[in-house]
Amino acid sequence: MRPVTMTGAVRRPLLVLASVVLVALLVVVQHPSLAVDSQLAAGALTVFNRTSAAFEKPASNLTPEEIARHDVGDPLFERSHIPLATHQDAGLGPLFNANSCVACHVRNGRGAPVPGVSLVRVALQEAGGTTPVPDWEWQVQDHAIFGHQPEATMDLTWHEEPQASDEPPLQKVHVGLIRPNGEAVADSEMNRSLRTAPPLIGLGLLEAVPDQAILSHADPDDQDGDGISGRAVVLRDEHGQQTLGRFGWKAGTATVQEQTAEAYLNDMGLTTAADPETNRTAEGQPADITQDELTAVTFYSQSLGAPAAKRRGQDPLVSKGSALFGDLHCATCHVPSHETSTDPNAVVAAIRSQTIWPYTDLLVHDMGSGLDDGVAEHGYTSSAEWRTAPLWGLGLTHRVNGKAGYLHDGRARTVDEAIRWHGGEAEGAKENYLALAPRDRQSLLDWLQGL
Amino acid sequence: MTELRPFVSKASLALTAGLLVVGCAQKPPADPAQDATPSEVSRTFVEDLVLPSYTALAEESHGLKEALQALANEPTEEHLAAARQQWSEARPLWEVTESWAFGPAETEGLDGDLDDWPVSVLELEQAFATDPFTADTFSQLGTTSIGFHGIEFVLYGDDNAWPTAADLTPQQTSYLALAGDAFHDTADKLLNSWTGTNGFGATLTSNPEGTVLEMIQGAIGTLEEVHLEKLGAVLEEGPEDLESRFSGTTNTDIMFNVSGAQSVFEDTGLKQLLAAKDADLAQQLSDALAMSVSAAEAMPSMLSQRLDDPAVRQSMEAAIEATESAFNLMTQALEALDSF
Repeated sequence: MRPVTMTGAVRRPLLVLASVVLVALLVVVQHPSLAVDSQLAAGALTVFNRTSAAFEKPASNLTPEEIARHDVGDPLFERSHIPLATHQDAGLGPLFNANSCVACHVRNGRGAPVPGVSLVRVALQEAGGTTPVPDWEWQVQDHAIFGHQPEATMDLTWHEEPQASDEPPLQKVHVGLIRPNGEAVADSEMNRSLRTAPPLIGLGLLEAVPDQAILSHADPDDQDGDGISGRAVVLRDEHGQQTLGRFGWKAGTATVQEQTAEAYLNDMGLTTAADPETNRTAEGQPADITQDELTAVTFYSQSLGAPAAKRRGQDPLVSKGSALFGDLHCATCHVPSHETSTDPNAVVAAIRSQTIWPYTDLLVHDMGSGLDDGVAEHGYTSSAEWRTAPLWGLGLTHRVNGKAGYLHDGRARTVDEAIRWHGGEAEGAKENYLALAPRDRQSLLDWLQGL
Repeated sequence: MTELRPFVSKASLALTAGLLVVGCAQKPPADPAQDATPSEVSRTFVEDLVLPSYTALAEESHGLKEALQALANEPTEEHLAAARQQWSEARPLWEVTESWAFGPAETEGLDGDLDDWPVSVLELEQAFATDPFTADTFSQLGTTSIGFHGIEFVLYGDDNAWPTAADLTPQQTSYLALAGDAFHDTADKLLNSWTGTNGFGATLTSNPEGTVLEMIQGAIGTLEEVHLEKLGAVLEEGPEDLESRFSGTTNTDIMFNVSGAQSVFEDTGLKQLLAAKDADLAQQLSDALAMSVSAAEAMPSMLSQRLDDPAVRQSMEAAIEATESAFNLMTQALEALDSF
């Protein structure tokens, strides 16, 4: 049975009542479980679809105008870009990783760890991976338009590592880089980190979590002594104001628009406007992606929902799984729920004041040597620090893309493997997981598959 | 045998015979009216609809490859006409599969290799300026320069100025031979990815209830793309985005897109499965899909040259209206059969 959402019986009285306070009271009185049912992963924006298209669905409860805007951005997100002759290097490239957003964000889900749909971040080995590679900067562009040569192509070699005790082996990848002349880049020359595309769901909601809510979970000096610190990535926006990093594997960008513009530039070789009025780049060239197009694609991403969990919050499996999740201290970093802000300027009206269940604190944590990729791009994080990955939609990963893997480089073939890769601040939680009775471990994994 | 609707409605097309032969080779499916269980519906979908369709595409792509090779070997008018004919026969066999492009076609990038759009005209022009055009030259081209539309661009030319065989340069004919090879390889990969005990087809039949929802969702995706993008956006923004505009066959693309969605519903037992829950909705959806196919069939070819003709625009608007209606009803069907 589909839980009652604000689309039906509840929404109609809302139109009659003028007072927001009264409305809120009415919702709580009529449906006391609404605000806390973890099945409604994205609150009123939850998408009731668990097919392979679940991540492509616009959020529920968009207004007709918002749906129209979403539909404008959708084909732009899917659009294949091509090189153009209008000016030097116009259009795609000349160097790039993919020719469209969806090439890597296949069906808006996790990408597969294979060449052509993933990319490689690099850094010199000195100074903890905080020094970019001359000419290449932080990212290898492994494709080029005709007449140009890519910086390098990737040669991925997977191997299994036996584990102590009776645990199944974990797999790891060696990222080879081959220059256009056929020479391999020596391992000692630079660190390299394979990066797959993360799922796109619920980005507008994550953007609407108040800074203070994120900071309330931070404990950079581990003052409570639980071994888990959690650090907010502090960035500067274009006006020099401090903002919190929320997006990307290492929380290196603060907003969906910034993330979108960076992906256009670094992944597709497409410029966006430095001056929205003139649609020109800082160099004075016409931007490949107009401000309107950037805004439309950003809005498309912000107005995607997140799928309903498979089971109601009261389901015994949910009770047991979520309790184990807390007991093991997984929930210390994968913070189950947040309240979105009341900002009247929210990009989507329904985003305001929602209880959402993304299972992340949006902080970065030291995940230990096993996940240390040697690349601390831009120096915002150390090379072992990663943003706590949101877990909503986790159980649909392989339905959306059967070739996808978990963790930044897709090394984990299963959620179990992903958990067993945890270390550093998550070492204790992992040990707790390994110590679980088989039946409890399965209960936890079954619950996670229902997210 | 299960009839693949587009091949029934366009029985006069030469391609019909090839697919029907493939279809006949399959085990006769159970009568869907008698046996509409998720298990039977998903099995019928995979074995009697998807696999025959990809088999037919792979076979036709072999014909296309040979025709393009013949044209490269001997660029005569006869060979050019034969290559165009092969292209136009292969094209519907791909377009009809749009509703089951979920799975390997998308997740393994095969859709992009076969059918990326728009064509990178600049890249092709630069490549054709190199001499000789070799396999290495071809390997430097992106997906927007190969596949159906790269081949179409060379065979039919831009701006509806179809080239003669004498117009084709050695670079272009070399390209066509290489593009035909690559196309055939990809079509084979697509078929193989669905086939066998480890294939995607087996994955689907092992999860019948989930597959029924995937089938509906696939059809929803097609109907949405047709009414919003393939037709809707073109009416607003002009002919540049009209897929298959070089050959003037956008209308055929759309007819087969919609026919594929119709086959998912009518030829697998899905209609009966839905009727057991909501007979009225099943009938409305059946009618809406039939209207969508009729509306698509009523659109003329060469749409890109006819967008200023009110009658043509009206035919496109009718197709948009019909497919949008079918989209809405198919969305209701998903909700009716979903377990939420």
